[in-house]
Amino acid sequence: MNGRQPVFHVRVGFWHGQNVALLLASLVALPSIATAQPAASVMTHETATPGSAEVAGSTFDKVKKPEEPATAKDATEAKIQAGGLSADGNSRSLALTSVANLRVRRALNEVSVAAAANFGRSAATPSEKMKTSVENYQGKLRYDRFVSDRFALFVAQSGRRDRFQGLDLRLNLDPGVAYYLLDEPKHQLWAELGYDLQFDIVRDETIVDAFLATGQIIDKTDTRHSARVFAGYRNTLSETLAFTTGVEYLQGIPETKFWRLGWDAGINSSISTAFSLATTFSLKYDHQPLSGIKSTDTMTALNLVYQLL
Amino acid sequence: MFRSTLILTAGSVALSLLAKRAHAESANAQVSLNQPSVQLSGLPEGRPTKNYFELGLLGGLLFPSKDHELQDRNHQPFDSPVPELGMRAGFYPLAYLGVEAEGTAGPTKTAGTKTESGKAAGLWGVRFQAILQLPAEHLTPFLVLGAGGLGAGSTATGTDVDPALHFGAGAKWSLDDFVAARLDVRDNMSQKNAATANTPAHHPEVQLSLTFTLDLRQQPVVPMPAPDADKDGKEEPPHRI
Repeated sequence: MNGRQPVFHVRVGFWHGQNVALLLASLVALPSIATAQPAASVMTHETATPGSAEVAGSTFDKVKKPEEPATAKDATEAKIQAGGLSADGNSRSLALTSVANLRVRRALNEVSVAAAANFGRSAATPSEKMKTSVENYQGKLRYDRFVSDRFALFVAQSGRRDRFQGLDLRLNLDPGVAYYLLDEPKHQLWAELGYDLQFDIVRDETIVDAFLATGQIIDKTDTRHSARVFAGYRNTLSETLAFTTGVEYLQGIPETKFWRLGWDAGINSSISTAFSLATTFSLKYDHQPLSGIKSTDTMTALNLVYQLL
Repeated sequence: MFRSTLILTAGSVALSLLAKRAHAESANAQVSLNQPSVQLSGLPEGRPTKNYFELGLLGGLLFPSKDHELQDRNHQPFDSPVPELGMRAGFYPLAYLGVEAEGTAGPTKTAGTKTESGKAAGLWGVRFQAILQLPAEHLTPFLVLGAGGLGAGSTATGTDVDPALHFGAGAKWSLDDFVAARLDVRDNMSQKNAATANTPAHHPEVQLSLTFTLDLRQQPVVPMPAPDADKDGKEEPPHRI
């Protein structure tokens, strides 16, 4: 069990859709923060020989760096986040969000789990009744099998229930391969290539709304097949600052009119050993959403993170 | 009805027999995540034997009964089998006993009529179950018994969810201490269409999954204590055990 370091986080904060100003400001400030850090060795250049003609002159060979044991990257990390926003008076709204993450690495195996719930109610005027404006529940399970230091096979499954996307359930299966172009303690850059199976169960209310709007009856379920490309980057700028981003593109096959794009970005800065501040942004674009559903969703969150252990 | 009762009774007896053995082996066990596992004979060193979690990615085939009552409007059979995907999470307080929750969903079609083709449909299930198993180095046979909900929806039948019971058997094949392949063969029972209450319609199911063993404790698995039947503080010679 050596090397296993359980970490538990509790996040308390608020989120607000469409509000990206804070994140953009953080992103603008990033380069100046980054330049304050020692330059990380992204590309190292090694000469073929040390430049000496002497081959047999050394008394001892250089000490070889010991090989990294298979369990060197073992880890156990768990995070729980919860946040909320409540306003009353002239503007009335209530928003609750919670996220839980678990990552377990054992030798060549890694499993990560994530679950999230978001809920919001609001009223346009003080006299109106509060109406639900956000309601979604998500879960994801992913398994990675590292076949070398840089190459991994993975399979992931995720489920999403989203009232305002018109979904009782969206189930995705994503098998693929991942390649780490950079895998250093402070830098990780990786790409994924794979297949995506998407199975939707549409809400009855969405079917009725679509029928009233267009006169057409859409199917209760829908299955799509896509090719999936993903690129991710993680940079631990310092002991107190980390930046993570990822872009995902799904291209429908064989019907190419179906394509989706997703982008996530987040900055996590430690305030103390126990607390940190996390700013995250998420964008999801669906080129062919369900009838009556907008194609783009964004969410910005500012979270206070509490690290229990 | 008699058949279901007989099957459930047989399953219950088998489960109770397994539970008896589990209880005997784990009489002093306490549920504490930070309590170290004790090495059990026959298991590879380091494999957790209690208070551990399992997660699973599963795929399978569900064979829905033509007599299901999973409809809100019109009754129509669903095409069979239904390919399904799902996830499973379990907690094992003992090496022999665990509790699990799982969710599955899969696409299908209504059977249609002579004049109209079938409509796109979906079946899904949420299940909670107890699992009793006999852990071994590689092959771990098990029995499951549980309850949950079975749902279906299409524009032809509407959307409905019925309570369901299920039972079954299977086996896990450990690929290493972390990953195992798992096979489940089950019968799901929900209310039968146009029948008296509690008359079951049977929906057999086969699942194949990848299962991941998560031991989140800080303390490693410790060797099984040496046998000391006479309490003299010395290990007994093997022939006296």
